[in-house]
Amino acid sequence: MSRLALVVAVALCAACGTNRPDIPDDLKQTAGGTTGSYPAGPYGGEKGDTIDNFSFSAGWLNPEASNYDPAAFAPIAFADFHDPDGSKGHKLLLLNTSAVWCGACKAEHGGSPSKPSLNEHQDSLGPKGLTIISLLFQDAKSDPATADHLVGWTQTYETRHPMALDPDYQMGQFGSAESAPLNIVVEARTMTVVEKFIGDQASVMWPFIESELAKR
Amino acid sequence: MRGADPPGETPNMALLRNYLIAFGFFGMAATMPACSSSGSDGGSGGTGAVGATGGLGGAGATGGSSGSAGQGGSGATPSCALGPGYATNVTPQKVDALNGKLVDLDGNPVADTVTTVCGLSICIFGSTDAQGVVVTCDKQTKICSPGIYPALDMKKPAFKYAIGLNYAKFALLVPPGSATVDVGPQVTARFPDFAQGQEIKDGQDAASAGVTLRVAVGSKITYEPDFITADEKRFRAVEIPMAKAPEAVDKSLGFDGLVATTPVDTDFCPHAGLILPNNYGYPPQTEVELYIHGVDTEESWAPYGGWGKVSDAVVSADGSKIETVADQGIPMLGTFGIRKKP
Repeated sequence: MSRLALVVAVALCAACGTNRPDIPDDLKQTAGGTTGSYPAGPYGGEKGDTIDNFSFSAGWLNPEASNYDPAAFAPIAFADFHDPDGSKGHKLLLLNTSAVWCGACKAEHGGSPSKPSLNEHQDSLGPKGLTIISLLFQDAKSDPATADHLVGWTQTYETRHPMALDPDYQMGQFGSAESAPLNIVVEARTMTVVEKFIGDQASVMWPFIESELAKR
Repeated sequence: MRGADPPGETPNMALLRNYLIAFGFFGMAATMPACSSSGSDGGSGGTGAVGATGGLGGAGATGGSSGSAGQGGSGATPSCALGPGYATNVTPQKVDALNGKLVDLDGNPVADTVTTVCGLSICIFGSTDAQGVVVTCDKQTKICSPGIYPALDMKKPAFKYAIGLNYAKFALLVPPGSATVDVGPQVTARFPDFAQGQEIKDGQDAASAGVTLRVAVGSKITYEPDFITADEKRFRAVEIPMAKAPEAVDKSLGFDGLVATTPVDTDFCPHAGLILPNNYGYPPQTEVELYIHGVDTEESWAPYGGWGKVSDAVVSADGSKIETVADQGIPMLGTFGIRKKP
C-alpha cells in the first residue's frame, strides 16, 4: 500500500470512532482517543515512573479481528488504556516490544511446546484485567519496521491483542535497540511502571503478573 | 512459529496442554496429533509427534504415524499441533562478547549479513562488514566495531547467522565455560537468486536446484515475518557438501548430505513432501532419515542449535531420488541433514 493510501486509511479509521468491529467491547469506550487527564510524571520506564504517553500512528486493537488489514490501521496511544477508575477493566498493561530479527521475540509471540504464547496469556489473564500491547520496531535487518512487517508478524502469530508499529523505537528510551524483547508492566490506574523485564523472562514475569493482578 | 490448535481444542485447553508439557508431561504431547487433516482421504489421522533425537531433547517423542503429508485433504481445513519441544530447565551462561566471521562455501567473506547472539529469552543484534567480520554498528554514527557484546546471562545462547534470504541460516551454540568467545570463520551457503526459485502453492510442487517441495492440497502455509515480498517467499534450495559443512552440523549424526531450503521456518500443515536428488549413492528402496536444524528458539521440531528428526524417506525404485514417506513429510523449511536409517 502506498504511503498516501495509508495516510488516507488511517484518517478514515480515526473517524470511525467506536463503531469499528475490530475493537473489543472493553476497549470501545476509549479507542482512538483518551478520557480524563494522563497522570503526571516523572516519566520513564523504570519501576515507579509514570510511563510516557507514547502514541503510535499505525496499529490495531485486535489485528486478527481486523483481518490484518492495513486499511484498518488506527492510532494507538498508551493513554487509551489509562483506566483511573477501573471502568475499562484494565488493571495491568504489558508493554511488549519486538523486532523481526529477534528469535526470542518470535518465540514469545508464537509460544512453544513448553511455553504459552502471548495470545494464550491474553486469553487467560485478560478477564483478570491484563491487556498486552505489543510494538514492532525493526525488521529482519534492523531497519525500521513497516506496515508490511506488522501485517506479516500478526498474520504469522495470529495476534489478537493490541499491536502497533514503533518504527522510531520510542520504547527504546527504556532499553537498547540491539536487544529484544523488552517487557514493561504498567498499572493502568496510575500508568505507573510496576516492573521492567529485559528479555522474555517468562518463568518470572508471568507469575509476577498473576500475583499483581490478584492484588488489584 | 505457531502451530494451530489441535481439532476441537479451545485456547484454554491449549494453555493447559502447554502448561502440562512445561511441567514435564511429555507423554501427553506424544499422544497428540502432529499433523492431521480433517476429512482427509490420504491417511489414517495423526496419532503422534514425529520422533526427534539428539540435543537436549534426548530420545524425544517417538510417536507413530502422523497424518497425511501427501496430497491428502480435499478442501478440509488441516490442523497441526506443535512438535515435542525440548528445553525446559536450562542453566543460564554468561556471554560477554562474541567475535567471528562469515564465509561462503568457497571461503569468500559474506558481507552485510545479519548475525545475532540469541538465547531462548533474549537476542542481541549484529551484522557483518565487507570482510565478513561480525560487527556491532551504531545506527546514528554508522561506526562499526568488531564483535557482539551481550554482557548477559543467557539460556542456550547461540551465534545465529544469516536469515535465509540470501544465505542459509544456522545457529551455533556458544560453548559454556567462557564468557568471551571467538567462533572463528563460520560457513554458510548462498541460495540461488529469487528468479531461480518457485512460488509455493498448496496442491503444487515447487522446485529449486533439483529439490522438489510437494505441498498437499488445502495446506496451511505460514511464513515467518522475515519474508514479506513474493520474491522472498519463493522456494529455493542449495546443497551443501559435507566436506564444507558448517560447525553447527552435528557430526555425530553421520549425515551423508545437507540441503538448505528457504523461506526458512515456513510451516506446512499438513506436512509437505520433500524430494531430493540421490547424490549419495544410496541403492534403490534404501530407508533414509531427514533431520532439520533448529534455528529458532520455539524449538518446535528440533532443539535450538541442534537437530531433530522430522521424517523418514525412501530411495526411489530407479535410485535417482529420495522422497519423504507418504504419511510423514516436513513440518517446515530449513536445513536438512540426510542419512541412512540406522
